[in-house]
Amino acid sequence: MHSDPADDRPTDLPPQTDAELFHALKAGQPEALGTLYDLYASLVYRLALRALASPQEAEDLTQEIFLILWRQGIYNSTRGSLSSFLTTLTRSRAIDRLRSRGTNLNLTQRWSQRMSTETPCPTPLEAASLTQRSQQVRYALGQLPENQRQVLEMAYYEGLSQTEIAKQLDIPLGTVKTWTRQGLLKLKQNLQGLIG
Amino acid sequence: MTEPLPPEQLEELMAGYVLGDLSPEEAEEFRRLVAENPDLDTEVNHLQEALGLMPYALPEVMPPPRLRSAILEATQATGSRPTPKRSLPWSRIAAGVAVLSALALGLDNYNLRQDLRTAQARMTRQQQDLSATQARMSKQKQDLRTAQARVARQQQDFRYVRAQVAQQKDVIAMLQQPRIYLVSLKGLDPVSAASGSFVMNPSKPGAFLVLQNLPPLPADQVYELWSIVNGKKIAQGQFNTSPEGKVLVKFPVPANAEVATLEVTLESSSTSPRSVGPTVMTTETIAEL
Repeated sequence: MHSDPADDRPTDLPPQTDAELFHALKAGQPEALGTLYDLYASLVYRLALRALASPQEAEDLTQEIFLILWRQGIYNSTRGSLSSFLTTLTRSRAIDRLRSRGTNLNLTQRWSQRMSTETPCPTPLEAASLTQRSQQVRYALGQLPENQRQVLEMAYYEGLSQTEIAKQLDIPLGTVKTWTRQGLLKLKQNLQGLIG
Repeated sequence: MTEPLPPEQLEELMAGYVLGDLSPEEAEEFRRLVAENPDLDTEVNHLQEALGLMPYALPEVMPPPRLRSAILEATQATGSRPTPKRSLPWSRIAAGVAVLSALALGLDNYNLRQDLRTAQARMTRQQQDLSATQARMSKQKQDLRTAQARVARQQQDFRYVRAQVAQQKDVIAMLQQPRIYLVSLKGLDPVSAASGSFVMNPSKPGAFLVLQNLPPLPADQVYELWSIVNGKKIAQGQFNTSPEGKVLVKFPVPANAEVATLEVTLESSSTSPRSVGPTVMTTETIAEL
């Protein structure tokens, strides 16, 4: 294993699976949290930023998520991957924040804010796998018909209900339902390699 | 067992479950299907995973480096995890409750501060209102006194009007009789605008003098009505006019009194009716109606 001089983590950690890291975390080892942070902070943060459209709030939420992981240890590896657990938790908290905020920025605002806050990503050693995974998912999403991808993203990132989506896009509710479900089924199919 | 669902419909149900958009009926059906076929759980997990991978497609951004140290510091601040907790739903619930309580307390304080400010503003406003009210009250007391005086005056006026109306009713009643006499009077210089009538019913006692445009008199003067029988003036009674120059006076003329020429003179109120002043109105016509 390589050391990372730009980082104050203990070096020469043996390669660990998510489950092992989480186990160490539950045993009260802060280094495990550092490692999990390096692996998943980008994922949590980019989702938070996409949903909340505010770098400050995205930072707050990222901190909240990792502290939940540290303090509550509620992840159960038999229920799915840690990344899936983190994104589910992040999404749900982000949507809570959006709801309590009461005002939904529209899609364009979110988009432009997200674009303007993008920064280069100097990733550590696991970056390769992160980047690879990102490319795979991007490709899988890109295979979806445009309308299916759009409604899926609106439902996922903005926590919009089917009714809200139908209203925003001015299409029948039944169509939104079909597109979203078909979109998810197709996405799962396209991501076979990464799942299960 | 119920009829198996076509695979496409089953998939749609599972996707809807993961997306959280099942209708109540679909949710019911889904519960039934999962109970019958626990293997569906794996497939649902896969869909959940697929959805959970979506954020990977987002542009790759990293949070600022300070966030990592902030989080690790936060773990130090709270020490190592006190007792490793199992993934009990309780921890989640407790955390939720803690967050809610903190929010509620924060909100409470905020609301209290708001309430205090609102209350203070309201007090200032009420004090201003009080001063204004006091000023208004003293003015209202004055107004009240004025109003009371006006009411007293109006009561007088009312009594006067009521008396007038009663007399007018008498006049009307008299005018409705089959046979009445009307002695019409006209004003002489300087009250040439004055006019009116003396109305009597020979079969009944009492007669009315109805005049208009006869100027009101100062306190020391009075009008006197005379009847002229065989060249002799007989005093019938004194009267005055209303501020509008109107007269409606009942005279105690006996029934079957002779209908005669009349005159109105201007007299000094201190003198007896014998001393005759200038004549201001004389008889114009005598008519039987």
